[in-house]
Amino acid sequence: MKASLQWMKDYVSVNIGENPQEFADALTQAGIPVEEVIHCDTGIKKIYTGKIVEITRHPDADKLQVCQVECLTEEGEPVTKQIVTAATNVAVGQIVPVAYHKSRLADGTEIKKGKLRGEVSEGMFCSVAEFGLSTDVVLPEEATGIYIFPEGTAIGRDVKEVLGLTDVVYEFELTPNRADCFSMVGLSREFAVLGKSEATFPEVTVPEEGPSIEGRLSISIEDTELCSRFMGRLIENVTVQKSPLWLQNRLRNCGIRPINNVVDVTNYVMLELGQPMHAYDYDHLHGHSLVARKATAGEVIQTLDSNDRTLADTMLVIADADRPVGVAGVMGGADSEVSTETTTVVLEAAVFNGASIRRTSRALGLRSEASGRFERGVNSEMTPLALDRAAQLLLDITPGATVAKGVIDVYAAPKEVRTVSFTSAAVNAYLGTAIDEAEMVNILATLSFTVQQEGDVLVATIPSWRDDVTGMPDIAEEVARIHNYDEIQPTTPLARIQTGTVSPMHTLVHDVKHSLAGAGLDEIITFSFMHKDSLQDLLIPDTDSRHQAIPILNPISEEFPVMRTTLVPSVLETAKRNVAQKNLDLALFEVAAVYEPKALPLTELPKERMMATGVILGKWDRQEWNVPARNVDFYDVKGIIESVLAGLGIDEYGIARSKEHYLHPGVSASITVDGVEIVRFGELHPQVASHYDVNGKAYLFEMDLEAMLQVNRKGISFTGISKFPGTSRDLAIVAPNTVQAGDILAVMQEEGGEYLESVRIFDVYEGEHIQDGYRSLAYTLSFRSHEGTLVDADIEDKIQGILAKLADKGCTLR
Amino acid sequence: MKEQLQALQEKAIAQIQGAANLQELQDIRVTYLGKKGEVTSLLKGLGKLSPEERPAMGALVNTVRVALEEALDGVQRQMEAAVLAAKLEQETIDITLPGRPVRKGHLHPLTQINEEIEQFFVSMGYAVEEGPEIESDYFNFECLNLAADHPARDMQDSFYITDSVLLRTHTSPVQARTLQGSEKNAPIRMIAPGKVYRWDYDATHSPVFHQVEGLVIDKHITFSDLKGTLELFLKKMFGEDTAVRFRTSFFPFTEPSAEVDISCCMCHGEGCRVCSHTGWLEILGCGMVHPNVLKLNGYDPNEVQGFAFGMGVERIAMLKYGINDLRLFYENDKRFLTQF
Repeated sequence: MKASLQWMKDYVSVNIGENPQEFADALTQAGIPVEEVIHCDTGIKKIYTGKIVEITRHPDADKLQVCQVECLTEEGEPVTKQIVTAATNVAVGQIVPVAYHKSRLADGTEIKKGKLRGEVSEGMFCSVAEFGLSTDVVLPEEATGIYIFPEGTAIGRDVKEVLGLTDVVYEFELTPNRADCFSMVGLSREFAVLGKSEATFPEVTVPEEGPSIEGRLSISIEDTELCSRFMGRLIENVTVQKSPLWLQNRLRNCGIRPINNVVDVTNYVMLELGQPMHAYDYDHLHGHSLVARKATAGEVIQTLDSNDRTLADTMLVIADADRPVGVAGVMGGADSEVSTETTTVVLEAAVFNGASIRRTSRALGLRSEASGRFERGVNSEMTPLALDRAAQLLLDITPGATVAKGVIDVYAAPKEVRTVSFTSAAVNAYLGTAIDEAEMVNILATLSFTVQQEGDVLVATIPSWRDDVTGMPDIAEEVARIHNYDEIQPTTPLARIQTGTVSPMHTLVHDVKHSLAGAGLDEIITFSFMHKDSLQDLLIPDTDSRHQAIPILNPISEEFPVMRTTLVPSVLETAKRNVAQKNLDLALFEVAAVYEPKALPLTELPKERMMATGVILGKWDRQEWNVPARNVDFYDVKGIIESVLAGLGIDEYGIARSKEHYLHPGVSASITVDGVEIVRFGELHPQVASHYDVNGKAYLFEMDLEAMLQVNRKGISFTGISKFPGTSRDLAIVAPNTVQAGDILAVMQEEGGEYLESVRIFDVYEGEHIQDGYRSLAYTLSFRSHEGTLVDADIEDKIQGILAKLADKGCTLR
Repeated sequence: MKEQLQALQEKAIAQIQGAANLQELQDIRVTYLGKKGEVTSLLKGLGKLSPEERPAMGALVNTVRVALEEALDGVQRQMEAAVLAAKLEQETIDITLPGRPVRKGHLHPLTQINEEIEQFFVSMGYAVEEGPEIESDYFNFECLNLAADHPARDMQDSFYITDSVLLRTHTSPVQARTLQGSEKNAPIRMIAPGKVYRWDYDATHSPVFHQVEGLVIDKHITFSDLKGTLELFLKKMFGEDTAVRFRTSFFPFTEPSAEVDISCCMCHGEGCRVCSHTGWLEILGCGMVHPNVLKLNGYDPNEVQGFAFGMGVERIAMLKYGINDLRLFYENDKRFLTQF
């Protein structure tokens, strides 16, 4: 909503002063947000109105004309200026804008006296573009050529003033509750309250000099749910023409294109009072009747924008005896449009159901100034005033027009007067304030609420335009916003002390994130969407449940039609994008939900499973002056997993080869607890890697936090420290390649006895001196007792026991 | 004899002080104090003296011996210190070479801001609650006083899954879930962080973003409590000298409602590009919980009242860290991530 401040002066005299931003801030503070303060001044200078009194052909140029123009000097003395123009739309007698010597156009061009093909030109004529007017707010015929002022425009006047370019306009970003402020009059009330002034609306009287409307126009409402009030007036002997400039200027400054006197008046009244209106050509209304009814399914209407609209039977239309003549509250029909041929006009002012208008305008993809107002709510108590105001205005600007006697008013659902009861104590207890009752009553009075004491309570009668006020909290808001929110002293709540709580999952997510970042990975956050093709890229077969992804009805792009069932594509895409940016060494992870429907289409809300997914690729150690470069490998990702699990107190788990499709079958693993997989990780399958342009090897992991949450986690408990030194033994075991390091470790732990403290693998060797198909694994076994110092002899039998068991597996001591 | 000793001492001291290195010093030590050294010989020769002379002379020789030892030790310490200093000097390294890198990952800036917000509120006894991202129309809109066809639904363009299921457009449904999950009229102090979704994608809008919701319900919670709580929070988040301003606004789920601004953290209120030269930055929306919301979720607005607030995590992160482009959060460029 744009509001012209010059126009506003008709209703309220607020001294806005030199800086209109200050008052705009006050309005914003009070909940009437001013988005922008627009100065209409386009920077033009020294452009004045002048009258063309003579036109001659340029002696030396076919396309130029030499005009003699009656002007006034800047001091006000009459003067005739010669202007040479190439414009084709000029004629003797026209009042035109003349840019004088040393004038300035909106684009900053300075115009100087000069000669055109030998003829002196003391300036130039201007088009609207040269004033800086947007072509959106002028008629198509005015958009090109020299702008022609209406007859009777005085000469020697500054064009800036004639076109209202000295105005300042507030553009409001109003909240949906303040439907009342979508009008000049509504805003004027807020101006008055905040500017400590009073708003008044000019007296409206309609001289009804024409014959009675009785029997000449009928209006009815068929669907009273969707139309609560429908009023009409008949205006005769109308000449459809351009509106006077003052009216055009006001509309233009408020962002509406002037069309003709009839349409302009309906728009003017909509801006002024917030009541959308429509005008019909009476002679094109079949049966001279209007009815508000539901459309029949499939009924077609051509709207004013020349589009054919097919209607549904839920939509309200205004129809004459035979056909719809308008989509109620959204847009009028082309058939009954007011044209230059029109002489008799029906003015309609009606109130339609907001929700219905909203649905209709959405369904038709058609939003208008009118539909926006109806959606928010139009005050049906204002309708008669609006209708009269429009009749009066049309009469004022259209000489010869007459208003038929009488008005048709079908008021199907009269608006009830509402009251809200409250006490000042309740308002203060709600706000945490100590505002005097008198101040509250006073604030409400300035907002046109009448407040009366009834016993212990105050009863506020709500103005008809304030449908948003329904209870004490609304009263509290009115009081608080005018009292000013900033005047309310901050306090903090009094409450019983309680501990802050965090859910186990939230804690787990926090711990895993910190653990992964601590291990050197960078956290990423990506969109929750994916494309199903990416599952194919991951070699995941169609039968896999991850293909059961929830489709979005209106996805943001073709790239993201479904909710993701795995984070892997997002993580790999992020890696790919980074690699493209030459960030070649990456360690990334994301913790987020994947969405698992129980059935598709959805029968209930899906499971949202938290996953932690990561990728590492490139170099783990970069070449430094004292550190050799080293590429990431399987054991880096395994180390990350082990450290996260250890940090969480998960120390008993099984490890097996993973069957995950997107991982290398020989270089991947699955970690399970009680048969439930909690982590899978390994090298990215080379075919998948090539899809994501990953050169070299990448290693992925996926942790199922949902499953991890179910695992018993070991807390911290202290084990006593032995006072005695321990002893250790290194064993190099030559083992067939079929025997895994973990198998040997298991034997050592099993046979090591009570003193075995730890086993560590410190070397793995294959090659020279080792038989083909075998490798050598070197372990350090540390033993310690709480009872005394151990000597070699104490552990010898355990070592022998281990070796004997290993021999069963084909392993020998090297 | 006494004079002889004196001369001996002077000679020896002169030699000690003139010694060029530790070896020479050692030779001097042997010459005087060694088994066959001059002072040792004198001590041995004491036996030839009469018992009367012996103590006095003995004491005298001993004085000389102690003096020489002290002189020798002193010079030796100096020499050793000089040798060590020379050795350390030789060991000097280039201290400008970089240290061996310690591996360190980075939490996403949005996580860091979220954690900061959570820490503040948990420290004040709030519970951290969560709700589903794929949400029913009922919890996302209806329970929050946003009936179908409410014009305020236009403020939030939604992603729909079905007619009645959508991606939540705000974290506010967690308010409704928490109220419905609590005993009627029981006090509540909670925040709800999480992802939210709106159908909007350009330089200043992301279809996925993060919010933190807050809800406090009790018998005597006031609008001034809301102001006080948020002022504490914003000063903690943006610094003690931050000014906070409350403006009247509208949300269907609160009444009265307010938009909260903070003094621009870039220019400290002077006016700059970030705050569009107003000196203020919009930071969050809040208000007193609308009685309808309490009613719709099983609470009695005549018994309890409270406040709610909601903030955008991206917005806070952008202002706090001076990030100028929303898209950076979701592009996850390593050069971005490693700055936090």
